[in-house]
Amino acid sequence: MILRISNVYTTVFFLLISLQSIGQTNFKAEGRVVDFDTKQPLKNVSVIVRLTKAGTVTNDSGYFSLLVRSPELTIVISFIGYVHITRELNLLEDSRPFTIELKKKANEQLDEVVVNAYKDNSKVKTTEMNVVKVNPELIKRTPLLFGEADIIKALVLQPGVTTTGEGAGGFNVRGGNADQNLVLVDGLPLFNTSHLLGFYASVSPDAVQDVTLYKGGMPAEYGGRLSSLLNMKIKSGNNNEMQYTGGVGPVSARFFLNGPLVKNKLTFTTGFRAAYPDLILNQLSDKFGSSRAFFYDGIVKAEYTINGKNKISLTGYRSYDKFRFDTATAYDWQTNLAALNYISTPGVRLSFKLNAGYSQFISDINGLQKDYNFTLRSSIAQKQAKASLGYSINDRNKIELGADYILYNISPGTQTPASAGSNINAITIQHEQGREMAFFISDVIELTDHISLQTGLRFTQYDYTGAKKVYEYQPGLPLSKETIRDTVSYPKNKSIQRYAGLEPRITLKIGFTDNVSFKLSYNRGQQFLHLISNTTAISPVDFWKLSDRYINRQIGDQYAAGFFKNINNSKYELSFEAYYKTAKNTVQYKDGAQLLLNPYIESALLNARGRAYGIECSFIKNTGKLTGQVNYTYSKSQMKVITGFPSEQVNDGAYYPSDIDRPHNLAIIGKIKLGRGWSFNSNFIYTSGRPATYPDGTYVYNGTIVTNYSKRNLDRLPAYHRLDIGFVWISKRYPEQRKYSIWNISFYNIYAHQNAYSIYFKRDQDRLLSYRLSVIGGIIPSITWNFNF
Amino acid sequence: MQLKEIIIAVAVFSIACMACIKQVDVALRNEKPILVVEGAVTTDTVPYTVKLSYSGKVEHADSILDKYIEKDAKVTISDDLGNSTQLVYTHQGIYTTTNPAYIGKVGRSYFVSVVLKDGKKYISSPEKIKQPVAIDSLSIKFFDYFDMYVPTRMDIYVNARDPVNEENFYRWTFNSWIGRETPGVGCGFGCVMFQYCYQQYIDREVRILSDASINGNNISDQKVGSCFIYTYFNPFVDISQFSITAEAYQFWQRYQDQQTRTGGILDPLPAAIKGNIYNAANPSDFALGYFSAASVVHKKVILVPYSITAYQLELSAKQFIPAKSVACFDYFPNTLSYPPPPAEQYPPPPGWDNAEQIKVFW
Repeated sequence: MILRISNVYTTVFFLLISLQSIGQTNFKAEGRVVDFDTKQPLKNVSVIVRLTKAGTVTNDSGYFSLLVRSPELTIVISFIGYVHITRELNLLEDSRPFTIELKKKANEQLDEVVVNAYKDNSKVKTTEMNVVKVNPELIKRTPLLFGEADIIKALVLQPGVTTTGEGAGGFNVRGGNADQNLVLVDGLPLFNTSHLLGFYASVSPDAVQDVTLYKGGMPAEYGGRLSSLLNMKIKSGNNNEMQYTGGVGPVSARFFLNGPLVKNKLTFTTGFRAAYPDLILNQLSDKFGSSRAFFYDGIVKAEYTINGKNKISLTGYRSYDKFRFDTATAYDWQTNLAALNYISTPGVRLSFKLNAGYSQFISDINGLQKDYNFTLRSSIAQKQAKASLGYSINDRNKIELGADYILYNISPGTQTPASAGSNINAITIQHEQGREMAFFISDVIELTDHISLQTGLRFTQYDYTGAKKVYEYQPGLPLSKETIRDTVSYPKNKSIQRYAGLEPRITLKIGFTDNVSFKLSYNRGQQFLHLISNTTAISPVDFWKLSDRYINRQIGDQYAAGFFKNINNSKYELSFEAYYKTAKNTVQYKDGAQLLLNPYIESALLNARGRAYGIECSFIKNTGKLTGQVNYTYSKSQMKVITGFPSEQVNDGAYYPSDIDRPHNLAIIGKIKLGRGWSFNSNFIYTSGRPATYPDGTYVYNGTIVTNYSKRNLDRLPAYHRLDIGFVWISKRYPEQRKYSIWNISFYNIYAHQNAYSIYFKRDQDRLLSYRLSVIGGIIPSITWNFNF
Repeated sequence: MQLKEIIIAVAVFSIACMACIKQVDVALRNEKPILVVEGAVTTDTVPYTVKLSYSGKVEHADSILDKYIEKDAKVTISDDLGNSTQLVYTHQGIYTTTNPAYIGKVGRSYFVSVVLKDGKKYISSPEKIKQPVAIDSLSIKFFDYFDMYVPTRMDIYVNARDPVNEENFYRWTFNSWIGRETPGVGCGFGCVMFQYCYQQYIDREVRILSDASINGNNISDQKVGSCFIYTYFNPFVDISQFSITAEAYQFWQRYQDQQTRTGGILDPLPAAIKGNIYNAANPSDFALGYFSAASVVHKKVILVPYSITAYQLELSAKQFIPAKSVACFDYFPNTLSYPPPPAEQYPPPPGWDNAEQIKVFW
């Protein structure tokens, strides 16, 4: 502690006070940390008392509170991506809460790697585990595909996150299915996270303020999906000045702007992006010859500051995709989303949040064949309202509690003839409705200086409701249209099936030293929505289904343990996280099942169980000329089909590798500062091949030779690996420079490895030939130019 | 004052290949052989056959090796009234019925029972024969390519009316005889000896339809097959329209899915084509293949292509076969041979004597 001997009286007074309170901490330093530009509160900012072990992090509303022994102290406030601030305090002179405004780091040369760098020890200090944070702004300075910065591609470089391959929509977290990820835009879910089969993520990084991925054990405030929460907050708008971002290219064009409408009162963000990748698709060989593709997405958000303690914002998002592979079918799909968020912080200790909104996803299949033309539409819509209250009992104990109400409405399929001469009849599959009510309470307690506990409990009650006609089947036989013995009609809003359960969420952190911590967590989640898809990746023919009498809710349990160490004052970070998760009641399909337009869809589905385990290792170097990460995960993901009927069994009822089982997953990310504004970036990825089903016998039927596949997923595709490199040049020389450019020259897949998307077999007279389909088989260079002035 | 940030993306493509398909070598497992049963009972009054074979490393569809053929099984077809008939082994895994009075009837259910040498018994789930649906008419379209490599052909389409008061599932098969001529062997001084014949062509593509989307409406322009045109001879065409059960339709649907897989993004996942035949003692032990019962309606026609000229026939692709002999059977499998012209001496194949003649123009 620095002692400032200013005058004798102060010293004597101080000594008297301290004699009376030996052993007590009786001074409080409290304040709030906000972003200088947006005035948004910053959460998880590290506030440390210099030269002591005391420290804390800010809460959701940016507030912190420290109990200290001495009234004179220096605190250091630091947060990734911001310039840190040191503040000398004299709590005897002034102990009022103060506000600290942190400025974003202007000098890009000091930028660390894009994701997950906690330079200030907060990874060791907080109770969060299983979490990945992404800085959207920095994604633009990594090697890009087609010149577009993509949030999901940046997440895939992190341990525990994979995709099924290029051309696959969706992503997988810790061996979980693609429908087990809750992707939120300002609190409302997106049901489809990519444009055009996964080449572009649905939301452009230009619109996003921050992105956090919870790989399991999301906070008790959230629920409804088993494997992950990807929480995206849209920019509210710069409070000080207008910012414009725009771009035009042969493949895509975009324009984003944000700023104040009324300074310090009303700010807004808006943007629009459109792409016309016909050029690419026409190159994608004869397979996609007569193809057309187009998409756009747009976002609007306005935030109104009612007063210093109350803010309200309204967000709207729309996206539309249209594409066609061949002359027979065209696909289009769209998302419409609106969210309202209200935050109130009546006091230092109290905060209140309200969230309400609507999100809808519609998917159309258009049959174009003359005489048989049709449109088949499926859609899902969610309406929700959430409220939560946060209260800091003291600075070691923060409680949050709240409630959610969600209404689901799904139209699984409606087919209408597209013209009067079409032979196709109109068919409508019954709508599905459901409602979900949840209550949660969570508590973050610092038991001692080194041990903290985050506990949460979520209780969810779900009802599948009418109006609906429900079929009752003969017991003792596999479900099939022929075994229906009764149809019961339920009126509107009456509960047909109810599922309810508790979801405990616990994380325990034990800090051995300032630099080493050990964390344990257990989380349970429930999921009442299932994506029905019998292709490997998310495709335009998929549709959503609610849990009902025949499809149970999915229940997932995840146990995780982690070890985190900061080396040499956060120059290096080392972490190991091991997990084991199980999922009950996932959905599988009978072989050759008809899923689309099946009024008896439950007769095509099977109950399955999954289990996954793995260990994720990550080593990060944060400073110096060379920075980067090495992430390696070893994991297994298995499943088995549970059925009492032999005709439905798969692989004789044993556990077999799931579609996303990829044991080895290595990502090496590096950045070298070359001097004079240049830097060299590269990503190397190596993943084991996906499981595949290869033929294991041939026979003759109908005068032709037929290949037989008697087992599922017992074979494996070749391993996936690729190297991307990029050169980035920044012209900024000093932190306050307003006029500068950034050039990014990227090469995706620089050694042109043709990664197998699938292997399929075709007969050529007497022989069975195997072919490998690669979606990207060459180098894809791109040049991106950003400039600011 | 204003911060302007413009991003220009310039994508330059110097692509070796995108969405490439390359042939690769893949190591395959080999599982134990599985019994394959192929057979049907129809309302036709011909002998019914059941073909038994095994899965393995089969190389030729036309002549299966002995080790993949089941010769020693006891095969019986029975109906729901208890009437059954035993089949007799003939050749190449084929067992045929011998009782001419055992004919498939609409409304009756049939199943097959196969008892192997080791006592294992496989039975099929019974199938009920549905009402037949009539073929209204045929449409014929020329595909006048006139290319060196692709022969001219006529595409044949069926028109029918789907009954509205029931669920119908259709399958079409196509049997035809088309005229061929051999390349000819020189016999000196501008003389060429060659032979004409009729070659049988059976379309192996699976053509099925469910009336789920079109119930009560017309089935229009449903393609059932093609006739390639090599000579002046009129093709003989026999189209069978089967009314099959829902299960048989789903079986053929799965079969068709697996045969047309391209490995692309929207492909259904590869799977065994489970049929309706299983081990009576152990229901999880499945045999491959299907035993179906269906009603059938035939349409036998003779197509008469008008105004085709010798010039156009010359342009139509001819297979370049080294001349070795005069005879048809040396060049084309499945032929009915005839001595050299004149053409009027060529009788139609048996069964087409009174067939309707359809004139086709282009």
